[in-house]
Amino acid sequence: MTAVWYVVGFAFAAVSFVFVTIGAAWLISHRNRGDVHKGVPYESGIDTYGDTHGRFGLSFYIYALLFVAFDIEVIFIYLWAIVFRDLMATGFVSMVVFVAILLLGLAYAWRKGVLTWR
Amino acid sequence: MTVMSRAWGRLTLPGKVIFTAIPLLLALGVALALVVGILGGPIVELASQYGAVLRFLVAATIILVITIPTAFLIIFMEMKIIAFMNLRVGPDRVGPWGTLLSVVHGLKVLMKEDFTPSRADPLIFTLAPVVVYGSSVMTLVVLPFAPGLFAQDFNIGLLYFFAMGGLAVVGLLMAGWSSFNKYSLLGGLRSAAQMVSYEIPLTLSVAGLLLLAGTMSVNQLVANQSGWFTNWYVFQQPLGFLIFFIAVTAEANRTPFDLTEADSEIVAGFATEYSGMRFGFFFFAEYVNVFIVSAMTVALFFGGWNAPFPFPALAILLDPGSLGIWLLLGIAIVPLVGTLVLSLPFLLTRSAMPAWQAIVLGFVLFNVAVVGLLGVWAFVSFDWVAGLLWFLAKTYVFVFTFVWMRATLPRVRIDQLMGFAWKWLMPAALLNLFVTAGAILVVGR
Amino acid sequence: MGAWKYLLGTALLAGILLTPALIVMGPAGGSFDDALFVVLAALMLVSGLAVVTMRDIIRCGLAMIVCFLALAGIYGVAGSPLVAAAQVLVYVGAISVLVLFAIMLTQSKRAPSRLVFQTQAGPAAVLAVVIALMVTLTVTGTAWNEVAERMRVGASALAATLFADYVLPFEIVSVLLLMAVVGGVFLAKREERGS
Repeated sequence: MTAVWYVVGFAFAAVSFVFVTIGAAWLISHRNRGDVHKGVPYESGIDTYGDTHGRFGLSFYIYALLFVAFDIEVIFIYLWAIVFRDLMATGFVSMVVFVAILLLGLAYAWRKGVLTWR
Repeated sequence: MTVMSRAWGRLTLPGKVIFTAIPLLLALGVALALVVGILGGPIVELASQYGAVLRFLVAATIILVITIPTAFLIIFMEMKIIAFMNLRVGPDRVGPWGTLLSVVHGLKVLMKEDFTPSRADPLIFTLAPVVVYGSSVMTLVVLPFAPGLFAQDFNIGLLYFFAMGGLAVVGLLMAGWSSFNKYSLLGGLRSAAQMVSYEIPLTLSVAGLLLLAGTMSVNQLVANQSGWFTNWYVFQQPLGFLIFFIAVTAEANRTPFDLTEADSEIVAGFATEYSGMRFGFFFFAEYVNVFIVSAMTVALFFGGWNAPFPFPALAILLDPGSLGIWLLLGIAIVPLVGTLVLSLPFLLTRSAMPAWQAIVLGFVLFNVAVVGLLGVWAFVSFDWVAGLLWFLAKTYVFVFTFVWMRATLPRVRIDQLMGFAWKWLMPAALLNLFVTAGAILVVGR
Repeated sequence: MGAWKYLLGTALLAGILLTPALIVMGPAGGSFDDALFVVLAALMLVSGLAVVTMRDIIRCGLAMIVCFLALAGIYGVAGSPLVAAAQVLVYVGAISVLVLFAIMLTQSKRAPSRLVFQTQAGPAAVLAVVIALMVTLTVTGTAWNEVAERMRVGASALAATLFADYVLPFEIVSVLLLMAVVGGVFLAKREERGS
């Protein structure tokens, strides 16, 4: 139970540390207003054109999708690993089946060429 | 002096107030310490009543404060070591051997203008460094520095570590999106894709270790590796260690996987539009991350705070009270004699040196010797001092390795990076896992 | 001056979060953990409302992350740190990132996603009513005292039960994940060919 308090309290402490530091920096740093060009995005000296939040390749999305599947797998593997000594052979077989089924998904993605960056 | 006055002139009014307040606060702190020292009794009583709360406050303060010198030290190491490897001199102006340059860097970042681009989303833009820094500091909670010297020992420590480390991805995406800059967005998406790809081999490589240990508590994992250095998990899980180290390098965005801020390709990645302290926190988090991943590598694979060999327990049991009058005599005479003895070589060999200089040198040497002896005494008689020293020594070996890699290795291309994670590291990690499980089955325990 | 708006918002949020906690600690006589539970529940409600009411879709996504984090905290208070860690790892670390990626990849000037929400009001209303009914049934049909007692389970006990009594469901999870991966890859490939 204290663990939750630790995590919540620590998150609070870390966030306030950052905010206090940024606030102090904001107070002591110098500022000037500049002109219109100051707030323009820096894109190597050229004025920005086109849609900034435009569509980037789908490759990023597929990695995130694969990550979701294998992240869930990792949690099961961790749970399995800490009790493996009580399960032995049956546990081994069940995890091999589990991972093998998931690897089919990876194999499919591999075959379709989405793992290769383009 | 002119530099000082110019810097003073540039400060805003609140800045002047704050800089005047710092010495006042220091004086207040000293006064507080004195009050605590004098009125110790009731305060200790109160503290023992709320022991858990006090422990939390102390742990949080120490961990948050310790990140500052750690980052400064690693930044200095990076500047100096890479300079030596490039046959340059490196920083050498501020402080002895330029050691204070990273402090100056820190102050510089603190005093720089903190600017929000006009089309950025100010709320998300401000929260992004908070998330990035917060996620890396939160992982420090489960890190065991020495026996009994940790913030909190969770049953699920390792899972907590990876969960909190994974939060940084959200911060990077926030930074990339809110800057309203194509380079930022591309950098943020790139680094997020990189981090999620490498998180799978990272978490899987440790699973073999969990099979061996049967626990997820980092403290327990470290305690399992006590005794001779052959007990370290690196010797039972060499492949696991290799995968872990590669993946952790990618997670911390270090060379050769620093595509996040590939300055020759996408300006500065997600941090392109950042300046001042908000940029400083990204920078800060990166170096704290280097420390954290080194420390975690040490804790998981290199025995954490365990010494490489079991050295005999030598408790020096000396009760100062039993010495009686000799104690007073010792306190009066030992410094005098020590100073004189240590200044003798200078007096005898350096005839050009005035006597007072030799005596001052002798006094300094005497103090060094006393501190050294005290250190040795603490090392021998307190578990946690020895543990902390071993832990930090091993950790900084890995910090050095990261710096060394930065000086030596070229950056990989992004297609190589992503392919490597999914096509090589992940199958290798699964292989490692099942070979370990099979070995446990065969051995039967 | 924009900063004051945010300061005011923070103060308001702190008020909304802390008032129930003070009520629980004071008149209701609860413990510190009850107070934490109430604060997290209030945070969840506020961020959940923010997800459905805010116009800026990326802020909605971030509010959803806050909601998930608060839920993880509630799992922790309820005595199941493992589920809390899994919640952070999977929902915040993976699924939210997926959602953010999806938003960032589809957001463009030509198709402002701010307007997408209003086009499906009819089906959404039906779904909302159905979900409200289901929640009501679940809440009324649960014996709350027993549930509160049963929650405290350690990681290894949970794992032992999972791999002893629930092996088949566990294997079916992998089939489910396989379906998700194959479906996602298939759709993405079709999309790529189309554009």
